[in-house]
Amino acid sequence: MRMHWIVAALTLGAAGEAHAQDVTTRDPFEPFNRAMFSFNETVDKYALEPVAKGYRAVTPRLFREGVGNVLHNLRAPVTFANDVLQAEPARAGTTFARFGINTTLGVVGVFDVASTFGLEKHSEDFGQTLGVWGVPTGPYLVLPIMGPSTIRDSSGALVDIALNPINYAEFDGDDAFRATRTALTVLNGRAAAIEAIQSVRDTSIDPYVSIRTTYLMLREASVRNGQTNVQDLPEFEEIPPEAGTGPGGEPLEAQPLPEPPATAPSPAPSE
Amino acid sequence: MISRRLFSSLAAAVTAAAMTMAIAPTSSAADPAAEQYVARHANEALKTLSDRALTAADRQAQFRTLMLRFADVPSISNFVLGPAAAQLRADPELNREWQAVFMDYSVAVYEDQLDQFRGNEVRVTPGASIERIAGRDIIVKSTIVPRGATQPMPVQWRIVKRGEAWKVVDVSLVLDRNEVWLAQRQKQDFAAILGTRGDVRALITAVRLQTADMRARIAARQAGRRA
Repeated sequence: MRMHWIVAALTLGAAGEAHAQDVTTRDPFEPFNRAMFSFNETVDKYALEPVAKGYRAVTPRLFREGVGNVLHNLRAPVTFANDVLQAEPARAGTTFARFGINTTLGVVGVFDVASTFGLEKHSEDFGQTLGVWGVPTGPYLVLPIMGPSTIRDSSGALVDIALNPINYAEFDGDDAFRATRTALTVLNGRAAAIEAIQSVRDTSIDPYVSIRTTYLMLREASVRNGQTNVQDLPEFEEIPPEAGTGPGGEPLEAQPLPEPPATAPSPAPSE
Repeated sequence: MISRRLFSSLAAAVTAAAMTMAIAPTSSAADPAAEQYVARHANEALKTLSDRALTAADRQAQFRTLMLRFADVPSISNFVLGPAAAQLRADPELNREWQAVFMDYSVAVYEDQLDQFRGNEVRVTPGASIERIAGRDIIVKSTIVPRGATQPMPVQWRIVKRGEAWKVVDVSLVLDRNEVWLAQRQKQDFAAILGTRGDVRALITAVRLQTADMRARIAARQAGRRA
């Protein structure tokens, strides 16, 4: 039974003492997570990313969008169940109608016809449902291959597997179908994230930390259905001009930085 | 067992209900002046990136000027330090150093990352802005199409009144239908490096190294484009 996972999530979550903004305190398993992160990075570097790039090179964009639409449509029962569990009848209605329209008019989900009718795409999972009902994320967790998660979200993922009838429906070639779906989910997802992941690797001081922050922030936003209440945004203190800039907004210490050579581009002033 | 007819009429009813809700208006207050301000400055910055007549040094200098004019850099560099920002008030030398290092870093991040939007335009969604504090703190909504993509990406600009001028303090991107505010994310990332001791000097060293790394990549890309 999956109930003990939920109980585990609740207990660990409560012990985790999560603060809405401070995500660093939510990583008590950091040494384990870092080891798993570097394992995943190695797998990604030698297998996942090259395959995703190859997949992108040989398939047209419309094909990949179609694959994404089919996969999204196959998840509709999970999203619907979670819409209901989150007491969101309007969103449940949207999911239901989208599934009906896209499965029929959209040719088994290849075309997202429903979006053109104003029925916007969204997805829900049981991790979000737990979040909606106030269950904290619990500690951050990096899973092998699957990547960033939390105790709450990985427990939720198990419930979602059980919520999707396609996971136990018996039909000709059902195992092959499920294996293909899993492979395509990973491949399509990785291909869509090529730039986003590259951007994190390029710009962050510590990619492990940036991915953790981004994951936790995105999940927090997804519990609120993607939006931040503007009143919850933090204040940006006004810094008086003498602390950094002149009245015109120009820096007081207008030191023109020398254009650094490409090989040693750091301004590197003495410490 | 539900009959097929009942099922289809139920589906039609749900579809109609869902569509009515989808087109229901959302409450927001528009601010045309704020919207125009964002459209003008964001596109000016993007143009700088695609201006082939500029040398790398000129582009960097121009980008820096635009950024100082468009964004409240001192306020952002204070915000991203979190509680450690208190050290800056006690130490003017450290404050100057941090401001300069963070500015270099920000210019490099934006020069590097905005490259994927080169040649495209930020389209502000008219009438969609939301007032957090009327006339002082506004979220302007826009979209931009990344190079090679078909779908526009939503970008939100949080602008605040500083004296008589508008200044950007944060930008949000939407990843997988969920929004992330970049200055808030930066604050979290820096918090992890600052650690419990709040070592601003260690952060300065790390940020400098990262900036150097990005500068090398920008230079390589520009050299590749010229070739």
